[in-house]
Amino acid sequence: MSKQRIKERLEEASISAAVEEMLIEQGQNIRSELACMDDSDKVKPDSSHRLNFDKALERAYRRGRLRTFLNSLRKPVKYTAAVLASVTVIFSVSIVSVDAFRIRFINWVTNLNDNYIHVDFNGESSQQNNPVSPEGTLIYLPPRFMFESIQDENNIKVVTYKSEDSFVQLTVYPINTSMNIDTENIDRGQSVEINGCDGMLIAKKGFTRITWSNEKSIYTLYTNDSALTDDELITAAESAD
Amino acid sequence: MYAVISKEEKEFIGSLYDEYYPFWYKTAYSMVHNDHTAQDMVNEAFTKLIPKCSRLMSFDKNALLAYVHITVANTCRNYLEKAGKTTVTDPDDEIISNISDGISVEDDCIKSFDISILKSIIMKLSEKERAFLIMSYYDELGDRIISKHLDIPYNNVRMYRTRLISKIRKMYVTESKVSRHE
Repeated sequence: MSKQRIKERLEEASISAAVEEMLIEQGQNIRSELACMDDSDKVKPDSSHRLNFDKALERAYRRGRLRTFLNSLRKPVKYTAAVLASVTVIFSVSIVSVDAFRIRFINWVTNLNDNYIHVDFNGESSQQNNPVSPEGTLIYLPPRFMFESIQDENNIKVVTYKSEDSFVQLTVYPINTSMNIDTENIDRGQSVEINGCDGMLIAKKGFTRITWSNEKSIYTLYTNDSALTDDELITAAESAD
Repeated sequence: MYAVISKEEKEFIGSLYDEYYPFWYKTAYSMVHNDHTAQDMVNEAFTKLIPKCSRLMSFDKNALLAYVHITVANTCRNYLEKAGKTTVTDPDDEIISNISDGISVEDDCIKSFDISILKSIIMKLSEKERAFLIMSYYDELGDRIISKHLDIPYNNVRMYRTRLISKIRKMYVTESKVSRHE
């Protein structure tokens, strides 16, 4: 530090000391002056001014309390945010890098989706506990069967329901589709009525098929489950939406 | 700036207001000559003091009273200046303005210090100059806050300080000579 700077500092310190002494002396004068005041001179603030001052103080005090409260929250919030961020990062990295975890996660999300859809269609699914397809193609499903998949290509919709190694498949064709029904070497065959429309039930080599049409589409309900009764199949066919 | 205080600070500033109110009122009334305005000025001065409460608590009690007194006086002076009821330029400020800017600080630093002489010089300064010194050297406020409190343009604060110090140096030399003769 240069000599000049030291001198300036000394000068500043001397002025500070002198200012302080002057303040103290003035303060002593104020005290003695106040002590010498008559009672008549000892005025008090009128109520409105006192109230205004109290309000200003109270505002500042409330802000002080609020700031203290927020400061007390700062630490736990920081820790919580850090923990949440760490969990999110670990979770994201796991999903991206660990196959098993990713599959479990996707399954879990799919299940959530299924559950939601189940709730959505529950009101119409009467006695059965089975979930139905998102499109509600079969409102009634034979017991044990669950929605598996839906395909919609070239205006042909195929909805599949599964139960262990059995399946029920509903196929919906446009009305102008030409179809051949194989009736050769069938085990049994009979005419059925589905929602007032004529149809045909054919059983062959362990597979059962009902085919019928209305004004809009041609339907085929097909299953490999020989345990399903004809009535159950007809009821399912009649519930086709 | 929002004032933020604790319970102790609230009680402290409340008691400072109540206990010495007659004196604050007297100071304000002697300047504004109106009962209602004098009370307004005291409240305004204390509103300015609320944010500094924690610092005020560390002051010496006597110095604190003088500090509040100067704040009240300063608030009144600002009010009067804004209301056009007094000359904006303090006569003593004129003296400061007349001191040459070209004074070399190196040549003019006070070589030896007698605090009592400095104190008597400070007592001879105008209210505004005293307030400036208190804010700068006792309260250690920044230039921006000083400019707000004393209504001095921010860009002029440094110049104001330099000129005031030069003035004190000159007065110190004169006073020292007088005291030596005595």
